[in-house]
Amino acid sequence: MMLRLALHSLTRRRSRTALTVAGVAVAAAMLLDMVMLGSGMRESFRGFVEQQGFDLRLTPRGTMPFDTEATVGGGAALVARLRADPQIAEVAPVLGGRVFVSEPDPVAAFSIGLEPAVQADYVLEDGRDIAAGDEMVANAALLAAVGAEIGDTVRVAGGYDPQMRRVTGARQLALVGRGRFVMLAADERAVAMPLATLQSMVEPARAGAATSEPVRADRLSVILIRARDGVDIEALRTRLEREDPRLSALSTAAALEFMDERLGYFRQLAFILASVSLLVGFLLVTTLVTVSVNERIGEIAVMRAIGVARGRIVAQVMAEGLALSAVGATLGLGLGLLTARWLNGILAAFPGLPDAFDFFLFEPSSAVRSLAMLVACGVLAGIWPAWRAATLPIARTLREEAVA
Amino acid sequence: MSVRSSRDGVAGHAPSIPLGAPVLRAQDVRRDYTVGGEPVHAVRGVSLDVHAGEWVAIVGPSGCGKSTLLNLLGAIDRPTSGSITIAGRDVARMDDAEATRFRLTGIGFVFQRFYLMPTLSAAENVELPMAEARRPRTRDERAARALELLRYVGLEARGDHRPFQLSGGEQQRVAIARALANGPALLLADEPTGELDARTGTEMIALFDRLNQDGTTIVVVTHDEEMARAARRVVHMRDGAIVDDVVVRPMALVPGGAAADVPRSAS
Repeated sequence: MMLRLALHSLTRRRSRTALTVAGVAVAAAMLLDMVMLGSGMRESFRGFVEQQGFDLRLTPRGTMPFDTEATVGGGAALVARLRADPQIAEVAPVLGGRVFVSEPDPVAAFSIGLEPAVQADYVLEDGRDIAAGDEMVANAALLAAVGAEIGDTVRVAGGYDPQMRRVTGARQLALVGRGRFVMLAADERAVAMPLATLQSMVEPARAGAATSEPVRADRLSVILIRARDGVDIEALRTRLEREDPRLSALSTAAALEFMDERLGYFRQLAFILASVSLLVGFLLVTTLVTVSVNERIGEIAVMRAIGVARGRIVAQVMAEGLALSAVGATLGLGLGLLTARWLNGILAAFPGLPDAFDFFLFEPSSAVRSLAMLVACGVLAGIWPAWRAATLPIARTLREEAVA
Repeated sequence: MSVRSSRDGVAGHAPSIPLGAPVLRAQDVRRDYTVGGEPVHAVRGVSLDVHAGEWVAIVGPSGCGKSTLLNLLGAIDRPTSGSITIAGRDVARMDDAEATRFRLTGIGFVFQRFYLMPTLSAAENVELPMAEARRPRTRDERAARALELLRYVGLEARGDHRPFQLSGGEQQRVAIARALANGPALLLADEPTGELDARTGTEMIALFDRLNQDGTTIVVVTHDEEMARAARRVVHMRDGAIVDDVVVRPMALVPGGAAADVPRSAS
């Protein structure tokens, strides 16, 4: 009967209760979104890194993969040496650079030169994989930009002089497949081709130089390494850096740590906003339950007078807080997921972000924990008004109510 | 003569109180408090015995301390000094939990403003003290007893009605049924006709008379002269003290419960 009284007291002022529940739901949604944001980017980045399945990334000293246009020379010898290393199971050399596709108005695209057998940079969506030196895979954005289809042969150049309207290092490549480039934005035009093919193309800055040697020859942007089972990754990383001072070696853990540092502000912001959400939910419930108790102070005094125990009054009032926060949190779960999806759509459109990068990650356990925290806050929010209700002086309250 | 009073099942273990035996004994009760920093001596050394089967009206001018005294007798306030014994138990020395339990099962309260729970039906209002006391044990039994009590106060057809659907007199009848729910030793009423029109007030007095005829011990604080005339004993208060105590009618004797039809509580 006490539970019914608690629920009845909430339905007595329906619009007020509905507004409070809506407020708690918004607070819960914000809390959920902040929790999702706090871990979303990190986990999304981890997903990308781990999806590639490599343990180490070797880059020119002091750079991050594709952070700059820096490359390292002597690529073939370096790869051969690494492949001979007993601790290394697999080596995937990669060269990144700009190319120009089609004529008469060449379209710039990011090109990845790789070894198709060990590549981890794109996922084939249509057609087939690269099998020969004069074949390539492009993404949908590039295909749309140049109006090409799988099966077409297109002209791809390593450089383009817009004043002279002249391309350099051009090759005819067969378009054999369409791929999704996991680390690139969806609208970023991209093409993958064999490493040697890209290395053979002349860069624009060097096109006018005295030598016609392609400056990409034998150069690499990053080398992905998969260690053999049981190998200490950190020890291997240290050794590789020591053996070749031109290189920086970045482990997956270090990459995640690096990402964590960069996302520190985001997480702090998310933590602060999540705390504010909890506080707002707490205050909303406290306010409503306090107002509700004040309105029923005479009824509560009468209940105490006719013998209803303090504990029952406390339970009744706290049940109101629990009901408000539980309903608000449940609605907030749906609202939070909707807003997270909407915000993710907005943030994902940020230029240069990988297509599949998610800012908000829904983890059921985290969601349940955070919403349970809000519900607990709602219950705690009922303590003060409940205690007030349970300890009110019965005789004085009844006298004051009679006078009122 | 073996008679019964309405205290069947007081606290579930209260002794049966023979008619005429003391139900309530207040000795030198004082209640002082401060209002705006000024000391107020609301009750000044009141001593009062109420016996089973009595109907006592406490009358006096406003502010004379009669409602404060009623609160003290009903264990919803504590005396500054003195003792109050109800059904053999010193309520002034009970802690809050004990006093609450004692109010639940030993005392029935009727208030001037009815104070029914507006979100509960009439029957549920009557069930409330029974549910709190878990007497009777099952909901069905409690519902049956609530209906029985509503029938006693003439409202068996209104069990499903919410308080706002009832007139003032009907609400007060429900409040009386609620007060009787756990078979209290003592029924305390504070201005029970104060919010009612004259005709309804007269009906209410008749109900109190019937309750008393059926063995219920009643102490009522009232300004209503008709109510005071209907009581069997009138206690006059002034300035926090009893100035007169007059038995105006002999106590009703209810033999063996045969004539008593106040529904008994399931102790």
